Amino acid sequence: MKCGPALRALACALAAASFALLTACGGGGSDGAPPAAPSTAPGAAQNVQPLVVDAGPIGASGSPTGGVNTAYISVTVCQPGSTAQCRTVDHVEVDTGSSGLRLLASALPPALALALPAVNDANANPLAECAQFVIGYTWGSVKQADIHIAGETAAAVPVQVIGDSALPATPASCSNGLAPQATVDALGANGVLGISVFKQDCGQACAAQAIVGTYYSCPGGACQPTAVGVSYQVANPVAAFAADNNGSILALPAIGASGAASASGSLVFGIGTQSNNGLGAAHVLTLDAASGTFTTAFNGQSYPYSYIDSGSNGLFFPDPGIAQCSSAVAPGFYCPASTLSLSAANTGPSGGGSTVAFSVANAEALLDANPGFTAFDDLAGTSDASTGLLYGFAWGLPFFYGRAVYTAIEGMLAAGTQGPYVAY
Amino acid sequence: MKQHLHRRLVPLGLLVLLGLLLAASLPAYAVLGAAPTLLQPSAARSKSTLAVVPRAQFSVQEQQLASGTVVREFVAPDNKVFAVAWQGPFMPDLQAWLGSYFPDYATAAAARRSHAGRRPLALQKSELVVHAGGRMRAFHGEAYLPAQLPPGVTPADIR
Repeated sequence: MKCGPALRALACALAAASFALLTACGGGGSDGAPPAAPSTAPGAAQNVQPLVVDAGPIGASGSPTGGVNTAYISVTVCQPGSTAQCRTVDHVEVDTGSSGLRLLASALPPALALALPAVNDANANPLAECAQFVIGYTWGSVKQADIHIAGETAAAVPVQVIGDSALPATPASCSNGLAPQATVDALGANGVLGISVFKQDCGQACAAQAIVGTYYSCPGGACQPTAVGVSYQVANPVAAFAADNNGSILALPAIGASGAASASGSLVFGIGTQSNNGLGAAHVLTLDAASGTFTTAFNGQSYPYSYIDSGSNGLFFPDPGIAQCSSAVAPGFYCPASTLSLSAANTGPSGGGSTVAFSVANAEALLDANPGFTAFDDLAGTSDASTGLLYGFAWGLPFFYGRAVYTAIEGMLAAGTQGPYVAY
Repeated sequence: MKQHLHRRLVPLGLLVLLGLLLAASLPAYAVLGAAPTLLQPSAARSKSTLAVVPRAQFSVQEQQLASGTVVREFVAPDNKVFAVAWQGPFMPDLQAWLGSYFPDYATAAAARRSHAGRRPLALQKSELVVHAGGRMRAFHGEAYLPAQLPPGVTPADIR
């Protein structure tokens, strides 16, 4: 996620510092077997993986690519069943707003990429997938891989290999005018680990019919949208774990109002499955089963398509009363004269609400005054909309600082409550 | 004779197919700045619904696409679409909906260094305003032409 040229300069300034961080969390990845799980209670998998908010992986220009407020983790992928044909990929973005593991082809050794079996459609043609995000898309092949994170394993799970050179060019219906996210520079990561409340990225909708901008079949080099059964769709790895598969907890430490150079947190798998992942006193917000959203009340307005999303790098909501930044430094972000203390109330379809206090700082001033910082809990911007459709309040990564945020997967019982829900 | 009839059936079948293809290639969508979506027989727009709501200074057409996403078109008295808005599980085909304004949008989208970490898009130009947000399974957005709002209509009236 980028806020503009100033952040690029900031990223350059950060190169030296982040190199140390990169080295600390694995550098450019490593070949070989998945890491052995540390010893733990008998029968319990090691279920904690460290994560970091930092400047991101180094891009083609030699500068970090991540911008601000992006949480990264290391993920090991293997040829199904193999402990030798593997790669640990660092700086994979943790995204509670999407489902499925997506890795840049360039982040995988060619031999491993070739060894991952293709997932085929009903006519034995390899499946391709388009994943549309708000401002960019990923286009890649669907492959099967074993995924190892901490001590957990998801076996033979469909993943997306972004920018697989074996695929035909991106269909126009996929790009939709958006920017391709097929390089480290464009993605700001080596991949995306989608661990939302959904088990697949698309689900029943794509199984029932071909939907433009999702799955494609490309016989003879011409790609057409195609329907794909849910078991062939790119899948949420957490739901595919053998254990601790009912959800996850993303926890980040509290940071000061002027941000931090980096932040180290953890991703814990399972909810109420082990001694370290109980729900405790967290507020549970049940979600709309179709959209995974809840209602946020803010400023006298109700936003029924609201969501908590580690993949958004700010808090995004409409408020015409807050000045937007004027320069190209942080377009779309808020630049109030002084930091605002605000609150909003979240309510799930079956109740369980809570009021959340948050701060909105002047984004330009914050970034200018803290060059080299990548973690901010008071960065917010507009999702202004004047039309009558009802929109959402996006609780991005700033929401996660100082919290443990639970994401319970659809159809799973997690600490006594049926998913999908979020809790914090 | 029988054989002759049989042979004629093939081109007839092709004609039917051609007709279906033609129906499918009609402008199924509104184009921003142009005429609104044509009301078409339900067979040609399976699983989509269309509703027209007249307002004082403009009308609103709402339809649910086959993908489940709802799109509203805001139509001025001169029968031109001055705004479109969407909400639903999938992004609509913006090239179709934005029409000649699509390149502006695409340029703005591409100009941002876009990452999987996402934030809403806010394009604010004198001729075109686009807001797009959401995430997988819950997208929303709007695009409107400030210079083509009917007299007396402000963006806040677009609802």
